[in-house]
Amino acid sequence: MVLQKLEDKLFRPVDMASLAVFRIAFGALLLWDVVKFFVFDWIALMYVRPSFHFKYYGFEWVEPWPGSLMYLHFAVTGALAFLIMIGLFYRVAIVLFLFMFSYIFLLDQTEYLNHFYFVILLNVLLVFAPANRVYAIDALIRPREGPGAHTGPAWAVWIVVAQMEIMLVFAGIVKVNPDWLALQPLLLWLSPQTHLPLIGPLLGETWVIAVGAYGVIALHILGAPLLLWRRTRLAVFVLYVLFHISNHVFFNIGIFPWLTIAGTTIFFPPDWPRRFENKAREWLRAPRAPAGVAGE
Amino acid sequence: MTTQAISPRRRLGRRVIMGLIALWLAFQILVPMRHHLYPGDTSWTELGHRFAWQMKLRDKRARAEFVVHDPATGQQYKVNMLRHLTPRQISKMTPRPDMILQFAHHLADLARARGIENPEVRVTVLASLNGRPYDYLIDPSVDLAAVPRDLGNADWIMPLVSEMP
Repeated sequence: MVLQKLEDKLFRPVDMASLAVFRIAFGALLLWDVVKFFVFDWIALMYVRPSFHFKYYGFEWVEPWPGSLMYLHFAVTGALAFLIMIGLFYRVAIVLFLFMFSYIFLLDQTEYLNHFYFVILLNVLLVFAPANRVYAIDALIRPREGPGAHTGPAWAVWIVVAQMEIMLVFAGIVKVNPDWLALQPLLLWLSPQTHLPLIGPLLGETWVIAVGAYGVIALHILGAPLLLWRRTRLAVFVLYVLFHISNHVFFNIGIFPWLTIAGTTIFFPPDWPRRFENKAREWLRAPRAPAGVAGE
Repeated sequence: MTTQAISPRRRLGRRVIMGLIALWLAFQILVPMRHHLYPGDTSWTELGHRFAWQMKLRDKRARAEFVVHDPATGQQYKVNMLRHLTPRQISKMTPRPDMILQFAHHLADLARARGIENPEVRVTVLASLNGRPYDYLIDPSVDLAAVPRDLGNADWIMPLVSEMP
């Protein structure tokens, strides 16, 4: 029966190592973002100084904390991101972080960013995923017994894969529109950037922009599904890393390039961090890390 | 292997998880497609633009001027947006009809608090999308104070008529 087969696939125990690496990156990037809010004092700029806030439909009741409590809210949010990163009190931290972060998100529509919405979606998934069984303080304090100690259900990994896939494919579909196909707004944005080193002179060429615009559609609509296929995965991953780094260079979009690169690593086999570790140890001629993958 | 070993209760739990996963995925696929329910260009109207991975699609420049009108006295005044919003909020609001409507309602609330019983709020927004010539984004004749905020189609947003150069 199809449903039974699907169930077996979704609940097959797999290594939680890849999910743990993603959890560490998620915590680290959000901690980094919270630190930036303090360093540049975006907290005052966005949430303390304005006397009026634009609300999301249905969330008109969300009000900012008065003055210094807003800073405390961000400090606690950052501390929770740190706990997620090191994997200490993970379940409590990831649930509280969801509330703390969503609250900030809902405060003012002015600050809407797709990547913050993506953080919330991934956060919901991480609430249910046992991402603290590997590479986590929790796993040291309360070690699980038995051969399945660092495994978890395959769905915990696959749901993140699906989330990434949906976001990437939509990012491609929405670009199939007359403006984008006529190279706008890319021409408006990139043509003035000819002063950049190395690539600058190329940006003055319309054909370069055209390759970029159509290439991005191909990368998302064809490339993203090819991440699911073992033979093309590494090549597409490398293309995505280059794509996200160029976005970082051209546009001011904060942690999004790094978050999506971290998210894209989830397409690799669940035990990739261990294989990577073993490879690294081989190079260093050190003993192998214990392989611990049930059902691989 | 594992399938034979699990109890009926555990099996039920698994099926519930599978149902929740299916529900989540359906939600993830449908929400970004809701812009198809609205007429017009999503980059212009912004209806269904959020939560839909519409990224790096629009270069939109806009300028807005709000006017509050008291029908009882016939008096009207131009709004100095900087008295109510930060420059950052102003630049984010002016190209986005939903935010313009919210601010208009806020202005109406302020006018009521100052004793104007039925304030009318109108706005002139000239916007340029992806290098097109500037055009009206919002119908300048509509009293936005009387327009409810909902998720329906917004006929007070002007259609995108100007052509790409």
